[in-house]
Amino acid sequence: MLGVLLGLSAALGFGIAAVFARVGLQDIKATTGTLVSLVVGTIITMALAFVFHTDAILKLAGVAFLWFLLSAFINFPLGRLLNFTGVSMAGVSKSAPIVGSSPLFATILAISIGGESINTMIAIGTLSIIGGLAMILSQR
Amino acid sequence: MIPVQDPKTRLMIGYAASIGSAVAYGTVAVIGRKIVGDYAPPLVATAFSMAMGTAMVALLFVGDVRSDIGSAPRRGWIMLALAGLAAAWGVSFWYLALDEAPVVLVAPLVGVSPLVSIALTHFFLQRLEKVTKRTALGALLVVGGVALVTLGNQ
Repeated sequence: MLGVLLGLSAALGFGIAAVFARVGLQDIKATTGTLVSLVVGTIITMALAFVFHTDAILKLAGVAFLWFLLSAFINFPLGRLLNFTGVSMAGVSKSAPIVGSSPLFATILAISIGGESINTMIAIGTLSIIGGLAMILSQR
Repeated sequence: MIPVQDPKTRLMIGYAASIGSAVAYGTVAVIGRKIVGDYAPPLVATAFSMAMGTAMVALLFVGDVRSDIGSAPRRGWIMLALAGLAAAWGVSFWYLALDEAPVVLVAPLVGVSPLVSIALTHFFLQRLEKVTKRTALGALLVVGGVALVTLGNQ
């Protein structure tokens, strides 16, 4: 039960973040908005990381930082900035579900590159996501 | 960035950017599995990649930031700082949830966040945008589909 409440709290946080971004991006460019949100997020997550994982941080291998760099490039100058651009130009109600379909793309990559297999549940879920995206994207 | 005024063009760019963002986040999820499996706990990976991402965005868009510093109202800065705070709250509670429950339960719950955004937009941002029934139904299909894909991946 606690896990469910914590998971829903996470969803609430992400959901509220998109709405605050929508309001803020009326006055500020998506690029600047991305930076402001990242500065605040970095301070908080870095503090939490040092509180809970000091030992793991001190033992990080050098190659791990190259992976962090790759992840950072795809996640923030690309993912977060495009997310904020979408919110700013299409609106949060249309952009949020489109961005929320990202597990579909992760699954496509995992199947095509990682050699993972598709099953009935993934197939039905994929059709549902495509149907939902088509409904949203067909609005003008 | 070049300002775009035509509403249809803005909408199309918004859709394209949102799809691009979903592809980027989906790719990061695959890379993240490798990082978390081989190198670092999820919170550490997020913190360090976020710090590097902040530096990259600052270097790439320093001109935009400078022009906004001179012209943007305080409300915009506060709202975007709150967006960062809320996103950090989301990340933190995600990890706390994963400590208490399996990912098969947590991931579909976190996946409902677009519905939270839509509900809040409907109730509090009616002046800015209208939530259509078509958008809400489409979002429900996406969220349901994401839950199925997540469960199917376990």
